[in-house]
Amino acid sequence: MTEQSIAQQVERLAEALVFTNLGDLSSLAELHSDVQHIEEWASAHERPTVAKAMNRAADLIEQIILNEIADPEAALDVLNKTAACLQSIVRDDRDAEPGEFPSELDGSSAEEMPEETPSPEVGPGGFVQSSMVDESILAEFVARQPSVLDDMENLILELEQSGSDATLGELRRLLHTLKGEAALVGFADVERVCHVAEDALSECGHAALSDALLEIKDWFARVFQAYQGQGPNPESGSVYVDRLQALRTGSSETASAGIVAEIEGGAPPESAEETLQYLTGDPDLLSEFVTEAQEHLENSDVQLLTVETEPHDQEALNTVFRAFHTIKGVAGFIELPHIQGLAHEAENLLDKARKGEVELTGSYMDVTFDAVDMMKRLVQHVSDCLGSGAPLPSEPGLTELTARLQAAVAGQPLPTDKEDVVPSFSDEDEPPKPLGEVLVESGKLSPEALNAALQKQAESGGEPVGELLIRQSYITRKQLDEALARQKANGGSPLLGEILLEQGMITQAALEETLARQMNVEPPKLGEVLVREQQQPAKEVAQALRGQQRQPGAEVRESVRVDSDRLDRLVDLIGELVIAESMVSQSDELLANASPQTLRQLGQLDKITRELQEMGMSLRMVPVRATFQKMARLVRDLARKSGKKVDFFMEGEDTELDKTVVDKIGDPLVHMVRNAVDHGLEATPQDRVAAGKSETGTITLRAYHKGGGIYIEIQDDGRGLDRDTILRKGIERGIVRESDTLTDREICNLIFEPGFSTAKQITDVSGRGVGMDVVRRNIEALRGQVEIQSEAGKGSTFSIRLPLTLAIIDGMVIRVGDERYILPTLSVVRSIRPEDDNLFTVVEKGEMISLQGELVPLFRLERLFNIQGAEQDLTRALVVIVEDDGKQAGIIIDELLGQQQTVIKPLGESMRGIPGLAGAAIMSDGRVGLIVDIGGLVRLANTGGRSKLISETA
Amino acid sequence: MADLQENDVVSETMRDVAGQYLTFEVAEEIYGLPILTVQEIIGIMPVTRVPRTPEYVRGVINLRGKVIPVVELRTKFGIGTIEDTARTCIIVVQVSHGGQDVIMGILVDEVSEVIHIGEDAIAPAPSFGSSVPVEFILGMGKVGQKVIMLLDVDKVLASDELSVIAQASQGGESSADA
Repeated sequence: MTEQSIAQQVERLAEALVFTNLGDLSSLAELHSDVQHIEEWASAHERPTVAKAMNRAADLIEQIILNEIADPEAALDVLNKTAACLQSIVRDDRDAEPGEFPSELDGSSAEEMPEETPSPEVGPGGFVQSSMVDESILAEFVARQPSVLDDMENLILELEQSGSDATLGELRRLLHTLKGEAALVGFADVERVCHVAEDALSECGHAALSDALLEIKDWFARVFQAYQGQGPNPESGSVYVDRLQALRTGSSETASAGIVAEIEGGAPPESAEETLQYLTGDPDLLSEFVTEAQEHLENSDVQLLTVETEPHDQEALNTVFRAFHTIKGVAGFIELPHIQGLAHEAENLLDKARKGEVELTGSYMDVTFDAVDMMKRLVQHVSDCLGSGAPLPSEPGLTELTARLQAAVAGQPLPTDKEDVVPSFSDEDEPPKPLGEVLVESGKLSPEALNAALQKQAESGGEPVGELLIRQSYITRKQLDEALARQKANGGSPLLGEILLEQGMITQAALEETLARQMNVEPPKLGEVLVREQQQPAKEVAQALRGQQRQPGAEVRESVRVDSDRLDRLVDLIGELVIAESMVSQSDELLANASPQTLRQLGQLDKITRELQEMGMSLRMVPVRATFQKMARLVRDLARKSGKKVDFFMEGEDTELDKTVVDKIGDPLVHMVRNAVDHGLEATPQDRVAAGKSETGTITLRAYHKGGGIYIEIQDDGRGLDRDTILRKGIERGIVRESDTLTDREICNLIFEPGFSTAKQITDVSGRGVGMDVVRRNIEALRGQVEIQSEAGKGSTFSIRLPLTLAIIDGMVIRVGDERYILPTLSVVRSIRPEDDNLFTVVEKGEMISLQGELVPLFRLERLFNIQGAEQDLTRALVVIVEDDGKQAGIIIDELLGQQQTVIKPLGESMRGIPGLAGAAIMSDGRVGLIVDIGGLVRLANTGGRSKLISETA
Repeated sequence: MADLQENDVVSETMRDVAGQYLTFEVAEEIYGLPILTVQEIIGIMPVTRVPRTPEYVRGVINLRGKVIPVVELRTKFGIGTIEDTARTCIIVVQVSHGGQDVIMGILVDEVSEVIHIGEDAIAPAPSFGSSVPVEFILGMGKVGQKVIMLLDVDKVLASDELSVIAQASQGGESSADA
């Protein structure tokens, strides 16, 4: 590689560093490889200092990627400085002088640096003016300090009085920030003192420290004043460091005296199990930790499943590793030693796994899963105790699990599989690599060829205008050649475009457009260059690209966490806005006087309002993916427990559902998936083979949209429902009479009856007959329905139909007497005006209407809801035929007022559970309308309402 | 406010009861609500009756997108109803029930004023002889010639009672928590 190209590369690196976003893993990875290139170049050109610095820089980037650095911003800054040095070095074409690169680069990380690098006592407070620090940044930092120090003082005093953990946390954060910033601008002594103070705070509590902390604060003030030339140079910070160190060691002796009983951060994990452990961290940090940890753990489950099928999936292993790593770090910070300990052990095992020293299979896999489960429980405890303030309950299995993890780590590494893996995962490198590197590593491309291609890529930024013009068929090749020849003849003076213009071959507009295009052209993709240059067959590039895409960081979507109460409030307000809008735009008064312009504006308002409403609704929608993934884990565990072989498939996991539905569908799904594994599939693999199927059963979980609803299906290819057994059981239990003839569907639905089970024995998985009853109730509570399709010997499909959102309902507004109610349109079959000759009164069953020879029971809403002034004469009333659970019923009303989409509101805590009512809705006039719960109404009529009905009608 | 709620033994000390009260009239009697429980006062508006609730529940109203129940104090205290007048008001209060804050409306004949009632102006509730069940009363405040019954709003509106009928009848499963 030439000097020229290395200079380019360094420039690019410096530029990339400035624009690097810490969350953007792929760009960090690119940095990493750039730095490595420079390192290679440096060692090839005998520039050892540069090579060493680059090596460190690469490590630092790696640490940032792995989230191992407490203050990545500072690390990034170090890298920026390094790049600046590098630029000057390359420009002058020399090797670096010792100490030219920022000293932080040599420290093992920004975090540990202060104690290891004794800084020369140059300025006030050990201040060293680094050439790399921007003057303005430094000035800004110093200017900000007085107020920071004031805050610090307040915090110290507050802490002394209240001893509250929140204050302690805040103080520590403040010290931490100050430490980081001081390091950045070169106040080494300040940084050192902050560091020790931080340590002291976390180790021995505040009680003994207040005095020392206040003195330190005063010293900080003096240091900054001295820097500004407003005072004499203060004494060196080492006085304070020593003092704090003394306090730290002293405190461990005095701790038993009970001075600092509030904080037990240093408690070793073992003792944490026996003694009651209270949460001592900042509640905000703790709750943030809980959310974050839970997310990490959910994700880990999924990734581990991937690892199970594909033990070499580095990406998955790294994700799990990172999860534990993050948990460990945060748990240490917020004083949860038991969590930290477990995370540490798990991390060790995973680290071995991702380095290929251990393969996560069999018992190793189980112990990893156990660790995830245990961690989930521990985190849950934290979450529970956070609200109640109770001590953390102990987890009996923790010690044993830790021991197992340690054993696994210590265990002989299993022989690794030597099978050929996809090149991109073939080694232990974490960051997503640039395509070129993937190719080089797999030996498909030499580094030289890659660099050549890279250069080509860099150069081919803009195509010549002529070429572009031809491609857009503004001119022909011949015309271009002519013009070029002409240009050459003239010594290349007039520009090509001008010549062409002159000749009238193109128009001004076409030229301008083409020129603009030339500017905007993106450099071709590396893969394209390689293929075009015939360095690589397209197939190999495509493969490598696929590998590259599987790298992490590719699908990070920006999102904002919002309190769900606020979201609900927003949706409420949007609902109100919609009502207010429709009141205005439908007001007769306004419409009578409106000019065409006003009407247009009203139309616009209407459109925006609708859009806003739609947007509001979509805010609550989340994909079912997370819920589905939990099922994957469940199936795996169940299959292991029961000794069955099961393949689990998911489809449509991106289907979005209302958050409330997604949260509530979990339990019923667990029941149904359990049933599918336990009852649905044949008892043993042999049974399956005997039935002529493959020994591995299949369970599919599927979600899709259909007809304004969302369907979730659980399909198994097992035995199917045994109708005879179900029927017999039903007769035994007295649910059906022997004389009854039931349809297939009715027989299947028997399994939803409470206490119904055909299982010959109760396993610990299912069979008590509670499950399906609960399933149906849960799903009905979500305004959904369950249906079963089953074929003996071939399997069963349970499909759950759910409304798109719980927030909106399609309703039919009806009137009974003076009152209005809303019937969910989903349940309404049709409405008819009854005639005298199709009305009957049947003894013991009350009023009935005959529809095509079938008798349908009639319910008077007026009586069930005790409404005044309703129509008594049935022939002048209206019957709405509704369907619930496959059965029809007629509801007698006075009038149908129309159809309306309404936002459902709960009736509120205090009016929960009124039979026959599903909730309330705001009507278009702003009043409240009540939504009828058809299922509840029918049940009401059949129980409470019946005796009354009969006595009145008989 | 928390202090007010926890003060079960009224005779013990009146200190916790002292404070600012919103006074209102129901059937010529003056009542007071601790000001901190009051969220707002709104004029009478159409109320939607909810079937199968106790008689004293007038129904529900739409308070800027929230559906809140409205309780009629006259019926609750068994005083007998009258037609709504122009002065009829709904006092929106926040009561705590089972650790949760619930918003409710109280329908009263007329809202009067906000007054401060000092410790020494408060006497314990009489054990008999008042028109209102004694457990609803924090104490009796005396301001000038007037006697003000200071209501324990949490007890008056104990929300169990609103759905007591619902609970008693069967089928509470299909709840309104959609």
